[in-house]
Amino acid sequence: MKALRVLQVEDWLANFGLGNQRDTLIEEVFSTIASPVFSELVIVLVGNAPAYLPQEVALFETLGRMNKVRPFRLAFLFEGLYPGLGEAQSVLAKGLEYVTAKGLLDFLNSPPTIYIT
Amino acid sequence: MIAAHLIRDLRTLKACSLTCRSWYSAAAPLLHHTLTLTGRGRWRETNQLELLSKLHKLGLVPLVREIRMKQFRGETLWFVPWVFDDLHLRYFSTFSNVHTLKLQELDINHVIPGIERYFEHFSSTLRSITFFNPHCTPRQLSYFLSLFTNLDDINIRNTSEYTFPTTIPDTELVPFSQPKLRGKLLLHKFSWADTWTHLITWCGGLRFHYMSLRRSGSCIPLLLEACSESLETLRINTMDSEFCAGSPTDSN
Repeated sequence: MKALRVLQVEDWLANFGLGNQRDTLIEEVFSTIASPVFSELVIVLVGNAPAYLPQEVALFETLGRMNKVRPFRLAFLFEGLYPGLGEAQSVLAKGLEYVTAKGLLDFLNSPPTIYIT
Repeated sequence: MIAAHLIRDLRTLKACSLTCRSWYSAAAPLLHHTLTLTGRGRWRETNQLELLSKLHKLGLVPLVREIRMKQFRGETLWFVPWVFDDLHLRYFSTFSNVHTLKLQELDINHVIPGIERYFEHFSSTLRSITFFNPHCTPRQLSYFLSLFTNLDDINIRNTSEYTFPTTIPDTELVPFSQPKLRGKLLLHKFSWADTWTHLITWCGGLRFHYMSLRRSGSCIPLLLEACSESLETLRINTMDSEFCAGSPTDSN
């Protein structure tokens, strides 16, 4: 992929039962990126997925590995309906604070961005 | 400009259109932007086609930019060639400004003989098409898509293998044109790689700049390779584990 700017990934968090397979898929796709303008990896979250963020140590290890190969900005996009948006944003922010304090995001050059739709 | 903010508020738009001529002029294009043909109830096909004649008589046809045709799984399909008599077909063929079609449970197999009669008038204006569970073979789908020269965006949700006899053998389907396909491709539960193989062959490649591929694992390697020069945003789902079985590698 020679013109790719953004890679968005759905169902990466709280994806029980798939084990390492989910990472393999993303890493395979990631390895096909040959774009000089690639800049952002977006993790798409729905429902209560933000609550699982602090448990995703393996995911952040995978992201760190990928970032070494091709650096990117990390973003989280929460897609949900209005009543739950505020709470989800708060849970996501707290989860990110936690993983940042644990040093799991040390591989990033800038803090992750949060998008809400 | 104010009316444009009310595009989803049909009740207010209707009230605006009754206020005065200038307000009517602002509200009418928004009120009639989308035509929904829903085949439900008694005499459903007759009701829907009568709606076409009313729009025609009121001079509202040029305002329609989007047509949604709804049919429902498990119910008798009403959008079928034999419900169109000459008059209704003439009304249907006067929609000359439509840029978006959303087609639910369309029986493409039965529309294909003489397909131009029903859809050719959309060929130059149509930019976006959405299918929900189309009834066809993979090749029939690509043939149908080739009808629209300026088509950019495709959204397909759910396909299931077509098990009925085809009305025209797949091998006799010669594409109409090479659609542009430079916009967005969204697939959900779509596994017909053959559809893309045909389109890639006919069009000399694909040029989508955005793709969202969900539960469409068998199409992913093919589509990524075909759009390797144009794709700017890719959305994938970790549940598409089939992709792991054979992904393309970029030579660069």
